[in-house]
Amino acid sequence: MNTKNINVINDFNKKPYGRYPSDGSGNGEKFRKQYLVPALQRFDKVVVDLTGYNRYGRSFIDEAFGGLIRAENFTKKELDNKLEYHHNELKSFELLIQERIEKADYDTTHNR
Amino acid sequence: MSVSKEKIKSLIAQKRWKNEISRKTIEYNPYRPRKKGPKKKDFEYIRFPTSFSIYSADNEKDSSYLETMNIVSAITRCNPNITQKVNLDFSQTKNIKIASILVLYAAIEIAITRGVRFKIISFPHEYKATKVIKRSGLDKLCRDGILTPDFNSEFIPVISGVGGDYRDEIVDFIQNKIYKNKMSAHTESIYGGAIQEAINNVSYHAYPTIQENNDKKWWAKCDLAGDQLFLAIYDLGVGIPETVMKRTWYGNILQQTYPQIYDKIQSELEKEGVSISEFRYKYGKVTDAMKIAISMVGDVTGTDSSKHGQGSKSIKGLVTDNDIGTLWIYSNDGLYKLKSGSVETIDLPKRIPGTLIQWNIKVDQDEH
Repeated sequence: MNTKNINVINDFNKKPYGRYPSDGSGNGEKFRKQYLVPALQRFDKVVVDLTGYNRYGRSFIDEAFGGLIRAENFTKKELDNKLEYHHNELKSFELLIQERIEKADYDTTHNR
Repeated sequence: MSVSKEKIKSLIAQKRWKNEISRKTIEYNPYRPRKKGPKKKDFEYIRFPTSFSIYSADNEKDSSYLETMNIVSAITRCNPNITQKVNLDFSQTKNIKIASILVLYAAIEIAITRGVRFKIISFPHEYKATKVIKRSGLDKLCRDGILTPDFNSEFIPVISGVGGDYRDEIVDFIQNKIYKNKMSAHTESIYGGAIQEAINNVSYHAYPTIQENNDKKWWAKCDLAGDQLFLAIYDLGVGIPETVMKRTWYGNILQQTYPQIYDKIQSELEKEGVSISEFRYKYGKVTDAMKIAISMVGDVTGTDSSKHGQGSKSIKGLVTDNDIGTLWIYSNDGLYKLKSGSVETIDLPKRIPGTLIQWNIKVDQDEH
């Protein structure tokens, strides 16, 4: 099984912020399209480490992770099997990612 | 001839009566700019009231909200072709609050960009009130026309930003200067989320006709008074009530938040032959304060957009975690107050342009 480790702060941006490209270079859409989607397509397992930044906005998290289902057509089952994420100091961000994935799954399956 | 005289008298009386009726609700505004001829460029003089504050909006006996907003309106209306310079007199002022100084600062900065000059001709005699003015940077803004925040000092003036400017510097300031570097990772995440999402909301919703983030202006103020942190963000956009009306989830959340009003609107509109799907365009039926409350409902199951509600959750997060915290949201004609999990909606006696979000939070400087 091949695994891809992504460290948000070291690999992507030291201060991730916002949803869209208009919000700046650390936006959630860019992280999703340039890091998460290619990794999920090429690897069996993707591990995202969010440690090192404690100020993630809900918009960034929602766009990056919820957007995998809403905009990139992944299913929750695929993400449950392939995607892992952790923040060593704040479990609240792990719960938030889980919440946004579940919400995107609910809305997509209910055609919202 | 005498009949005709009687008729004329009656017509005059009627006209006078109609005029009296039409002006019944108009209040005298002592701060209204004087009418001048187009060639007479002149100074304007504004004397500030004893209490310059917007916190008493729900108290009919306290006129400070109206007096404060009348001054802000007067400054907003200043026309540089008529009024070149405005003298500000705070000599009678004993009490100035952070939210009102933020709104005033924004109005003055916009007027300066239009070509009006301002001068503070007298500071308050009360030390505390003078300190609020000086700490806001208003005196420097009036003097220099521009002010760049210095985050290394012990207090920061009003921050004037666009797009995602200064979002980390504001949290850094709270972490370093207010929490003395003793802020826990959890508290940092709550502040970070709330400030990021409040600034985000300005970019996403406040200025729908402006494309460039660099033109979407906001102002912020952060101050410690005793153990209370006051944090406020203000924009001069279209306002939350205006934004919420254009959202597809508006009807659903209205139904869940105010079911009785929803049912009343539905039955009224059915009588008028209007489809329920169109009812969101019927502005007058739901107050602005209620529209703010609707916008603050998180992503309720059953709403149309799964993205909706992220900002409101973070903004509420700062006070739902803190028993002594209060969230105030002023927007257009409404005020929304959240304290100890309880929401109060208040109709403002005078419109506030744009949206002001303020948190009062008790600071625990001994975290960890």
